[in-house]
Amino acid sequence: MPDESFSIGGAALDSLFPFHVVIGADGGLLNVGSALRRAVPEICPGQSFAEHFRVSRPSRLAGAEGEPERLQGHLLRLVAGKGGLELRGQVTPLDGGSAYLIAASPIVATSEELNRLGLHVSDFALHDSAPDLIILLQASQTALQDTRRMASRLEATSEELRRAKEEAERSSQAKSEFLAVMSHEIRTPLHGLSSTIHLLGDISMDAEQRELLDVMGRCNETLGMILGNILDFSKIEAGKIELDSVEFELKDLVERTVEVFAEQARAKGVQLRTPKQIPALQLKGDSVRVGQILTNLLSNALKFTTEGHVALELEARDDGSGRVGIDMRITDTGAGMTMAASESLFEAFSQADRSTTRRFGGTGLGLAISRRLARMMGGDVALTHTALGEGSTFSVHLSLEKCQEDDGARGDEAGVRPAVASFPGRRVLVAEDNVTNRFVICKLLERRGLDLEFAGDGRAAVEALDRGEYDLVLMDLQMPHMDGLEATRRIRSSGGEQAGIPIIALTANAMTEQRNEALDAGMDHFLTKPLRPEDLDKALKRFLESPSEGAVPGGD
Amino acid sequence: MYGLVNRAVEGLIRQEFGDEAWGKISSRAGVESLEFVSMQTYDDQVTYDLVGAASEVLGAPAADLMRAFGQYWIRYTADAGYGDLLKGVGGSFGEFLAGLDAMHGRVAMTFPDLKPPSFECEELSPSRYRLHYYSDRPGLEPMVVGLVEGLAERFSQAAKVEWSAESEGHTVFEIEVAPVEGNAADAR
Repeated sequence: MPDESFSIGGAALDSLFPFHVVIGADGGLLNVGSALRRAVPEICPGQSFAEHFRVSRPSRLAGAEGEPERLQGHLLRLVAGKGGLELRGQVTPLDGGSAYLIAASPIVATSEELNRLGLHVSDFALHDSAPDLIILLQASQTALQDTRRMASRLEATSEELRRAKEEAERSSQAKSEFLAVMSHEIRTPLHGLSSTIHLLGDISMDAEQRELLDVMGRCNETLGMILGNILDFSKIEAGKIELDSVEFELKDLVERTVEVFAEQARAKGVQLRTPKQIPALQLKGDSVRVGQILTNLLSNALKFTTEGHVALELEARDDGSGRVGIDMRITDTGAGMTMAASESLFEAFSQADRSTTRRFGGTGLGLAISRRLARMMGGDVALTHTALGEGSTFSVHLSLEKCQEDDGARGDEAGVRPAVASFPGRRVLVAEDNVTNRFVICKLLERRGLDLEFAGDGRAAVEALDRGEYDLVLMDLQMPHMDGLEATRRIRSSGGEQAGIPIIALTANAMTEQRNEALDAGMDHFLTKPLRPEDLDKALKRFLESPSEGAVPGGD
Repeated sequence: MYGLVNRAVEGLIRQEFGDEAWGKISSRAGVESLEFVSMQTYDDQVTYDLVGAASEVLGAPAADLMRAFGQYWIRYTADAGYGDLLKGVGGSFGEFLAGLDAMHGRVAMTFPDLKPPSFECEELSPSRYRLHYYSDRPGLEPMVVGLVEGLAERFSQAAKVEWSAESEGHTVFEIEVAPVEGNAADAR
């Protein structure tokens, strides 16, 4: 039981509740708190409570201002005076119900309201947390401003990033275009060089001259491979590489690839071990790229091995889902490397160390390209073992589509090394503006017994076809006045006798888009410079040996 | 200290000495974050380091900088949305000084991490006051001088402030104010 012997004086009451009022049983104001009097000066003791105060909550008590006993036990919301000062309060009886205390405090949420009501923090009792709420609210406003400011900074930053990204994309685009142009520019003289070397091979010469020519030939091959690597890597970087899907024979592909290194291995005194049994599997995929991966790894292994052996092992697993998993392991007894040096091995332009480049040469792109290609084929290339001075083992995993038995019957033309073909009396129109290229092509075609005529640009080619009869057109793409694409379109749409003549693009433009453009324009085949005589022979055979099939598309 | 204080230090330096000076000072003080978060608690040492670095970079005594900061703090908080709250503390210089401790007390109750100082004010006459300052943070008296001056300026008064240490953590400030000519004394 609370001790009822205390009574609280007016000063203590005012200190605890500076916005209080005390009303008598008749509803008259007995006492008004000092802060309330300052805030609402018209309220004075002696007047009636109902005259100055209205209960706005609970709403069922609206109008009950004259009956203080009814207001007990409720959290009241009161409106005071003409200014409408809102207060929260509680009614409690004093002296056994002869009077009632209304302990009240203004409802203020913001410092702005505090000022509008003309109140100071010091008007509130120290225990009253109303001013604390104002401080808290202001602090949360500050935090909100921080958030807004940071959000707008983030927005600005992401805008900057977006611009930087666009800029990078533009520059990457420019790089790709530059590479396309450079590719063309480098391939044109390379074509002249390789074709000339090839032609020189047919001329009788003494042993010393032959040796010099071989050196030229090897340099030319290397140059071609380096150029190919750089272009491949740029295409991979630009996401522009696309995998072909052609049928090929695994055994044949592996054997042909390995064969290329046989002579090099013999010359170095390194044993080249190949699998005894390679499964004869008919697969579908990008055979050129599969060959490229194997070539890169064998070439690396041989490059870094001066004695001992380079061994290729191969396993093929048919998982029954129409795909074949191929695992190859290339082990060498060469230089090897430390694990630390091997970490950046698959990064572009990297070799185990800088001195490697000086000793062994190379662009350092081969492994990066091989891994990217393998990954595009659902596989990977990895270094599985290496130690300095003990050689290295690389593994290749590929997942390739298996051919149905019936579409595998075609065999692989590339497997056969034909002798130089001969087509006596057949007439070829060559549209080519470059003098060196003309010379080279002239020599190559003459050796194959072909009659040929030149057109210096696309327009001249179209006119030549109007006048004379030909069996085949070799068409350069970039020519003055009218390019090869436009000339092809005109020939195809001319409606003349020669509208269906086989047209083969012969160009230094090696990018995939350009190949597609040529085929879209109506060309039947696409040969790139530097031109490999085997490719030329294959194309000539295809289009000249059975003229009725020559223009059937989709033969490649 | 709350980030708001450090933000104000940054604001003062940027305003008075430029962005480049702030860059040098913040890096010398080893401030890692790009921006202070107003309502986050930072170690007091961050603020002390900022003042120390500013003193070295600008070649100005730390006490002068703290005094300038005190003056700036009043303007800064008013601009940062606390203007109405400052008015709510008191409608005159004397009222404000009298309400200073309750104000800081409420801040301390609301933000338990914050350790605001405590004050006690004696009104010796309408123009002379004795302010007792109690703080655990050493060496901030010049800042209090600036605060009092900034506060007086807010009520269009000019203040003359002298201080002496009473005991550890207790400093007494003798304040004399006079109206600045041509201005009303009451900012309300």
